[in-house]
This record gives sequence, structure tokens and C-alpha cells, in this order.
Amino acid sequence: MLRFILRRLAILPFALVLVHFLGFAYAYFARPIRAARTPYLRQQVENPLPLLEIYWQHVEDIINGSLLQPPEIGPGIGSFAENMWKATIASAGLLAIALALSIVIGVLLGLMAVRNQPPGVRSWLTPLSTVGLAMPGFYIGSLSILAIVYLALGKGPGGEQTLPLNGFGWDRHLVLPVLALTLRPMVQIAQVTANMLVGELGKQYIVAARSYGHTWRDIRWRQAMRNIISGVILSIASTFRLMVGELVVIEWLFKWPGLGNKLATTLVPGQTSTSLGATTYFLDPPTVAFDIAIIALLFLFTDLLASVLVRAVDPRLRVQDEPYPAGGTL
Amino acid sequence: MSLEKLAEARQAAQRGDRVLARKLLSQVLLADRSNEQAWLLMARLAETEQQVIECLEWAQRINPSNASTRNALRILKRQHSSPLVTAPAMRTSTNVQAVQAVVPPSLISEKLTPLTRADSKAIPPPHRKTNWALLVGTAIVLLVVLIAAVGPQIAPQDPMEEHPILQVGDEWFIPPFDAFQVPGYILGSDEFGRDLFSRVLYAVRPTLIMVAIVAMVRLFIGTLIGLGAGWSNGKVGRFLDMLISAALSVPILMVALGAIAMVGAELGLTAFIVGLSINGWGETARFVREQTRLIKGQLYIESAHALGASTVRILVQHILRQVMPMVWMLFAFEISGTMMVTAGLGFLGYFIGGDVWVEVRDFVSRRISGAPELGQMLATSWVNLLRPWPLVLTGSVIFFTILGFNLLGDGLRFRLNPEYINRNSLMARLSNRFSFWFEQSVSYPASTWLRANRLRPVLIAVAVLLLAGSLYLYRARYTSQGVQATLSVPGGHLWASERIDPFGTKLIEDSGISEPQQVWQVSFPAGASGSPVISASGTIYVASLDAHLMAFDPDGTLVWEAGLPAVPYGPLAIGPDGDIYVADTRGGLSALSPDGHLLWTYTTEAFGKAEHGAIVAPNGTIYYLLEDARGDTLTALHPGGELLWSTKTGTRRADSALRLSADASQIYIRSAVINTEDGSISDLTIPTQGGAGIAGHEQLFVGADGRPYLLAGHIVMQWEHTQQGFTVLQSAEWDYHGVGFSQYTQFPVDAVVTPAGNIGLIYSGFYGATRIVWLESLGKFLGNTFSPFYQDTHFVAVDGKNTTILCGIAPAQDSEATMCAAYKLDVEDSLWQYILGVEIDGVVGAAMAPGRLYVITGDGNLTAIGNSASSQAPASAP
Repeated sequence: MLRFILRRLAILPFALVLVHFLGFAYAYFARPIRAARTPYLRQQVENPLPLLEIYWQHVEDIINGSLLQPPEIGPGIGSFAENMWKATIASAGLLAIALALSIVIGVLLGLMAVRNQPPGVRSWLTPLSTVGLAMPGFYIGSLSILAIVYLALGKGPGGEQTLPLNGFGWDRHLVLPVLALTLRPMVQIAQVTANMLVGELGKQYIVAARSYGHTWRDIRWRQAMRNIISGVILSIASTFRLMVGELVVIEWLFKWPGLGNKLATTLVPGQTSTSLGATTYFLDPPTVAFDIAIIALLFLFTDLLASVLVRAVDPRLRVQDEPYPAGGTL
Repeated sequence: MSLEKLAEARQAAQRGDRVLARKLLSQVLLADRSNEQAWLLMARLAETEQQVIECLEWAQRINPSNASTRNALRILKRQHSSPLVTAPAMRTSTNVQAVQAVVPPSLISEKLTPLTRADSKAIPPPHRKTNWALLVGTAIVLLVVLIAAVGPQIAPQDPMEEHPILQVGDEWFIPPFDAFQVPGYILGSDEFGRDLFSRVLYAVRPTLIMVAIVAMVRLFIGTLIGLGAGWSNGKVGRFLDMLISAALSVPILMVALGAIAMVGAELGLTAFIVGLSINGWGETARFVREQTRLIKGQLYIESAHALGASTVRILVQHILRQVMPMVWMLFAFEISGTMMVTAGLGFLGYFIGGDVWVEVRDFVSRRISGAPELGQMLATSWVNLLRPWPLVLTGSVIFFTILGFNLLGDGLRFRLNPEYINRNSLMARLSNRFSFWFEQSVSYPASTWLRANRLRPVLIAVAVLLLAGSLYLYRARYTSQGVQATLSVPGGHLWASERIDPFGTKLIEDSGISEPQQVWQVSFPAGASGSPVISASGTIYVASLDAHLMAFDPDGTLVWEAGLPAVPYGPLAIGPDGDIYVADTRGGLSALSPDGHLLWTYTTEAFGKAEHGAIVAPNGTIYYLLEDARGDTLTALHPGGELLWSTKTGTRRADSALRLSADASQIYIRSAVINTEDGSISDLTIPTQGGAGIAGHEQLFVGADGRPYLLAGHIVMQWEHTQQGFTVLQSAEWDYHGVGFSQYTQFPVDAVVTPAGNIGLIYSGFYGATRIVWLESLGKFLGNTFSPFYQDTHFVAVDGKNTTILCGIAPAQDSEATMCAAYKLDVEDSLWQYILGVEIDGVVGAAMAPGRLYVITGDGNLTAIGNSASSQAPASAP
């Protein structure tokens, strides 16, 4: 197990450097191409130096700490590193809360769906998951905004304050983005858990356990769940990817100042182009590179965590990584 | 031999040795499958009801006229509940009677024992479960496809029609309208007052087409990679495995976002196919890989290997065939997956045809959107946080579409699962019945006939191909090309009438001017009547208002000068034989020979003046229109000056140059069509006739590609005259609101179509600058050019490279300058410009020859503009 973790951790920095360079190169080449298509940017965006040279300058900036210095364009504007850190914290917090809720509610729903008593969950989980999986994140978000708007209009002026529709804050601001981000992964986890449990509960050892007098609760949690937990963990890891994909849209919708919003700001074209020229973040190579690298880090870390957890909870998988003892037997 | 074995089988059956009897009958049938008696006996000896039915069906196929067989089959099928259940005994008293009715009594040796009802119950019933996912999914998908197919036809409003303010009854409404707030706008409107319901009805089609194409591409790539990954074990397999893992591990939305940002959304479908397919095939590939691995382990694959089948053959013949039934399920899931990502992209501002910018005012450009598409609607509907309804509505359409395809995919997956297949369902029975019918009526007779007649199908196929090819060639040669024939100026002249040629194309090959300078200039103190004409040899003819016609060499030398019988009026025209035609202020027309002799003069009692001069058809017939407020008169003259016909066109002061159709059979004056044969008015109703706002602003014209077009408001339609009348072939509808034009005003003053089919619309207002909008033939916005001309802009000509030459008055410091300039699409500034003078009262007319632009200005000067000033100015003015 330790060897496995060390091996994966050793790959991590190389993968991050590679992704960072690829992100930088993408923005470097895409910037003038996109600018050429946009009025008032055609003459303004040019790459002054070759890619490797400009990338090396950027690496030097990272090494000598230039990115920690705030720009000299005005007070109150943080350094590049500070901005990226804030964005990372904002996104990581949002993702963590949404993921935790998805896991808890999803697994509980999945467990309840295989119970005969009460029968409610069982009957509505399938329609719920079908509907939930067909809902794009922005649609859930816009529906919730619509609901809030009508609620506020219904209350009239002076009524109780409703949930904020956009902005950042570790308080009520979280409710709508988390809701929009949670629904699809939650139903997916519930569906996977329920399907796997149904398959597991049909096995002979469950019949034997029942004949020994174990309760269903005991069988579900202590026996069946142990056998399916690795599959559930892997499905959680895959839903995390789904969640990160949605993050761009959700943060854009709710103006949440995270990595997704930053990525969208660099890539999404505005409705107008004026003689004022490009925005600061218009396909900015360092921003795109860091953004992509941090998202990749989240992916790789989640993958590593899932792999470690799966091996920790399922001895069958752990065996694959262990070296054979002398004599050729386990 | 067969007869002997049949007899033996019969005896064995009578003895009760059913096994031997069946064995003998099998041998008989293997040797001769068309033995009806053998099949009937086999039916008698069959173990199950299904086998009985199969045997009787064979017997009926051999002898369809056997009523007993037919009746027995009918009875058996009616009672046959589950055709594929192979229970050992399924006999009831009725079907025993049915078999006995058809099988000869001599063959019956034992008494058939009917099954009791209790026995029947012992047979487990087939698993019955309604596939709701399939039913509901199919219903939703059918609804979506129906909307895509007929949506634009049933849309109650124009999806691009804006309403800054709308009056209904006594009430005024300002957009955006809420749902059910304004009559006729059941789902409300967007911020521009465009009907959301109509927009949605229009938007489904392009989105669904795009999504289906992307899904097909992803399915194709995924199947290919999945097959390879599942089949290969070595390095290739590991590489493909790694590729699939990589594709699955990166969010499709992010990859698509980056790819489309780089490729450019304005490339349309191509950009989306690229962006959504880079790693979108991952799920399909994983599924196909797993299936391939499962099938690969089957014994029959091993057998195929042992028999020497190649890898490709096994993959195609065995594995792909097993995977193919799942393609529809995968396709449904791919569509929903693609739709999900497309929605996200649309929300972020990437939609088909996006990234097209137009300048809406100084230093500000705006992204425009053409016809509605769901992604584009998402991109443009999120304007106001407090008005999420348009976004919710569009999102709901997308949600239901995804839901429908998800349910369809789930339903198909359920249906393909052997554990849950309900073989007694209505669908299964219909499918079985159809399969049987198809095999009996189509497949079997066709294969029998093909075996018997190997040559005939080949001959028929060749004949069909020849016929189809001939039809295609006929259409290409006589239908399409006839219309598309390149138009040329009759007689090969350089400039034959006001709009260059009688068709009015305004097309020149190339201006040939890059650094304009004055080459020479002559003055007419009395002024000139209108545009000059230029003969094939380059001679320039100009009529002055003191009733003289003059001919100049290209170097400005006066060749001759001739007197005219009346004061000339309007532009000149030149015929194929070089004769020059000059209209006069009395409504008459004079013809002069190329050397300046008066040939004839036609006089008329009709009212009006030939504002736009005459045109001369390729056969020499001269047409000219006398415009008058009491009604316009079109006159056709023989080349010798005799009247051919004269007709009232129904227009009043049309203020339009005549346009001859490409085949010279019709003349277009605004929306009126006159037949050149007899001057009759063609009974042609154009679709916008009488339409509010547009009526009176239509102009039929001929493009440089030879096709007829209609300019109606801001829209240009290509049409043809069929038996049904005016038939629109395609319409260049575009978002003119997006570039700042209103629906009922500021219409283009002229329109041209280049040989490549690009449409140029010339906008010129008294107070506004002149602007040329370029569109593709289907309305895709290509761009526009601005010129400073603001008064009486004279649109001179266009070349095939979207370059236009304009003359007119433009502001110059503290005064107004008369100048000419060339503008090219995608070039912000003018290619060149030349100032003719200040405060000289504009341009009377202009004509072009290779490398030369001849302009007659309001002060009575004819100026030759060219690249070189080497030519000397003429010695003296006439």
C-alpha cells in the first residue's frame, strides 16, 4: 500500500508541471487566434516572445516570488498568487461541501431505496434519479433563482430577506450554488449504491445471514455495504469529475469567485468588444495554466484518495499491490 | 428416395416410433425442403406448439392454397401465447383439432391428449413488465423530433421580429413580456420583444441536427476505439485503454470550451464537432470495449479463429454484429450527453455561428446571433438576474429533450436485457409478425428469385442507374446550369446600360485600380444626361444636355460629336451591334450608329420620362420604361425602331432600372414581372405582397450567378417561376436587428449577388452613412463595410471578390466632397479613394472599364480615373 501511495505521489509533480505547461501553451497559441476574430483586439494581442522563452520567464517569476507581489496598477488588487489562492479556496470549499452532501444524501438514499419498509424511497428514487440526471447544473440554478425571485416578489417590499442570488460568502451565499452542484452527483451516487446493493442482497450469503437471524440493518451495513463500498467510492470519484465540469457553469451563474469562474472569464467571449481592448484575463497564459493545473491537482488527488480508500476497505484489491512472499505463496 | 423415406416415416409414426419418424422426415426435408407432405407430417410429430406452427408455416409457404393449413395456423396462432417458450407439451383440445384437420387422418396413430387448464398453469408465464422508460422516452423524443420537423411552420410569430413597444387594443406593452401577459405571446418574449414560443419552435431543429451529428461522430469514434481496445491485448490494447481512461478523466465541457474557443464558434458545426468529439467518445468506447471483451471469450469466436477467419472478419462479422443492436441505445445516450454539454457551452456564450461581430456604433462591436438555436438562446437569455424566465424556458426544453433521450436509452437498455424481454408484448408480437411477413413475402421470394435469375437484377440495377444518371444530367444541364449560366454583356461591351448589362448585375471582373489618379477630364457646360456607356473597343459615349452625343477614345480624345433630335434624358444604352440608344425628355428614344449617324427616332404619346434609360436584350430588342405618377409605361422596340409592344406595368414612378431575366423572357420592375414576348404582366404573387411594412419595398433582380432573387425588406430570397407560381428556393434570413436595423425602415437601396452567391445589401440613408452588408446565400452574416457617403450614394459596381465601388458625397472638414472609393469585405478602411472635388453637387453617373473609372459629376465634368496619369488630358473641351 505504501509503495502504491509513494509511486502515485512521485508521479504527481511531473503530471502537474506537464499540465501547467500545456495550459500555458494552449493560452499562448489561442490568445492571438481568438483576438484575430474579435474587433479591437486584432492589433492589440500579439505574442512578443517564443513560447519556451516566455514560459521560462514565467517559471523564473514563480521561482523568484514575483507572482507574490501585487501589481502596480492600484491599491486593493492582490498579487497573482493571492488571487489564485483565494479562487482555489473558494472552489475547494464549494466542492467539498457539495461533495460531502452528495455522498451522505446519495448513499443514504441508495440504502433506503433497497428497503421494503418504508416503501416511499424505493418507488420514487428511480424517477428522481432519471429527472436529476437530465438536469444541467445551470438549469437547476436558474430554477432556484426563479423560485427565489417569485418568493421575494410574493413577500413584497420589506419582507423577510431571501437567499442571495449571487456573490461570495461562507454563509447563505452557499445555498444555491451547493444545491445546483449537488443534485446530479447525489442522484448518481444514490443510483449506483442502490443498484449495487440490490445485486449484493440477492446473493446466497445474505440468505445465510438471514437464516442465522441477522437483522436487515445489520446485513446491509455490516455485510453487504462492505462488499460494495469500493464500487461506491469509485463512483464518488467519477461524480467528482462531473462536479468539477459543472463548476465552471455554476460559478459563472452565481458569480462565485472560484477557479471555474476564472477559467470561464478567460475563455468566454463578451457580448461586445470596444476600443478599450481585452480584459486582463483574456486567455492570460499564467491564469489558464494555474487554473488548469489546480483543477488537475484536484483530479489527481481525488483519484489517489479513491484508490487508497478502495484498497484500504477492500482486501481483494489490496492483494494486487502486495509483493508475493518467498516461496510463492501468500 | 424421398417418397420411400416419407413412407417409412409414415409407418414409423403409425407404429408410434416418433423419434425414428422425425429422423426420417428430417432427412427428407434436408434433401427437399419443398415437400409439403413431409412438413405436414412433421407438424403432426412436433414436440411443441411452436414447432407445429413452424412446420405448418413451411407447408403453407409451399402450398398457399391449402385452406386446411391456413385455418389450422390461424387457430394455433390465435391461441399461441408465447412463441418462444419451448415447453414440452402445449396442446389444447382446440389445437389438436386444428392439427388433425390439416394432417391426413391416415397419419394419426395415437390420440393426442389435450392439456388441461391446470397443466397450462404449470408452465411459467412470461415475465411481464411494462417498459415505461421506453414508452415515455419514445413519446418525448417523437415530440421533440416533431417540433424540429414542423416547428418553424407552426410558429405563430417571426422569431426574429422585435417589438420595442407593442400595442394590443388600448394597452401598450414594453418587452420583456411575461408569459400569458400579452395575447399572441403565450410564453412571453425576450428583452427585444421577440416571441419566445416561436423562437423555441425554430430553435429545436438546428440544435437537434447539430447534436445528432456530433453524437454520430462520437459513436463512430467510440465504437472504433472500443473495438480495438477490447480486442487487442498487446501494446495497442494498453494504449487504447489508456486513451479511454484519459478521455473519461477530463470533463468534456472543459475540453470543448477550450477547443471551441480556439477553433472559433463562427465556424459553426465544424467547431462543435471538433470540440465535443475530442474526448466525448469515452463512454461509448468503454461500453464497446467491455462488450467486445465479453464476446471475445465466446466459443464461436474461437471456432472462427480455428476456421481461419481474419481478425477484421471476426470483428466485423461477429463482434460488431453483436454490438450493433446496442447502437440505438448508445446513440440515445450520446445525444443526451451531447445536449447536456451543448447547453453548458451555450450558457457560457458558445453557440453555433457565434463569434460574429458587427460594429454597432463607433468603437463598439457586438456579437450577433442569427436564427434561433437553443445554445444561442441560452447565451442571450441570461441578461437580467431578476428575469430568469427565458433561461428557465430554454433550459426546460433542453431538460425535457435530455430526459426523453435518457429514458429512451434506459428503455432500450431494458429492452435489450434478455432477463426482462417480454416476448408476449404488443411490440414483440408485432415485431414477430412483421419478421414472419418479411421473410415469407420479401426475403424468401427475393432470394429464390435472385438465385434463379442472376443476370436480371444486374441488368435492372444498371438500367436504374442509367435512368437516375440521365435524370441527374438532364437536371444539371437543362435546369440548373441553364439558370446559372454566367451572364455577359451582349455584344461584349464594357458598360452597356445604367447597371452595366441588361440583367442589372452590376458585376465587373476587377476594377484594376489601386492608386487612383485623374487621367483626363472633359467638361460639358450644359451638363450630362446620365451615366455614360462604353463599347467593346473602349469608346465612351456621353450625352450632354445641349442635345449632343459625344464619343471619346479611352485616352480622352473626342472622336465625334452628333446632334440629337431632342434633349437627352437618363443614362445611355448600347446594343449588341454597337448602336447607341438615347432616351429624351419627350419620352422618345433615338438610335445612333457607332460612327454617330442618327438611325431612327421613336416618339410616343405616353407620359413619363426614362429615368433609368434603356436596356438592350441579347437579341437586340430595346426596352425602356417611362416613369410617371399616373402610371409607368414599358415599351419594347425592334432594333430597327418599330414598336414591338407597349404596356402599362401597374407601377407608378417605380424608380427602378429594368432587369432582364437570365433567359431574356421576362423583365422585372420592382415586384412586377413583364413577359418580353408580348408585354403581358405575369400573374406572379410574391410572398411579401401586401405584407405590412415591406409592401412596396420589394425588388426582383437577377444575380451575377444568373438566378432570380427577390429583395424584400432586409431579406433576399432566391426564387423560381414554377407552375405553382412564385416558389422560394432559399431565403437569406439574417439578424438585421442585431446590426442595428429596424424591421420596417432603413431598407437597403440596392442588392447584388456575386457569382459565388454572396449577397451584398447596400444601405444608404439621407442622414446615415452608407453601409454594405455581406451575407452568404443562406443568410450567414459575413461582415459589413462602412463608407462615409451620406447623400445620394451612387453604387457603381461590384466584383467577384466582394469589392464594391461607390461614389457620392462625403463630409470633408468644413465642406462636402464628391468622391469615389472602393471597399472590400473584411478590410476596415477603403482600398482606395479619390476626391473629385468639393461642393460640386454629387455624381450624375459612372461607368467602369478595366483600369478606368469614368465619373460624370454634377458640375458637368467627365473625369477618367485610373492608375496612371501618363495619358494627356484632351486638347480641348467640346
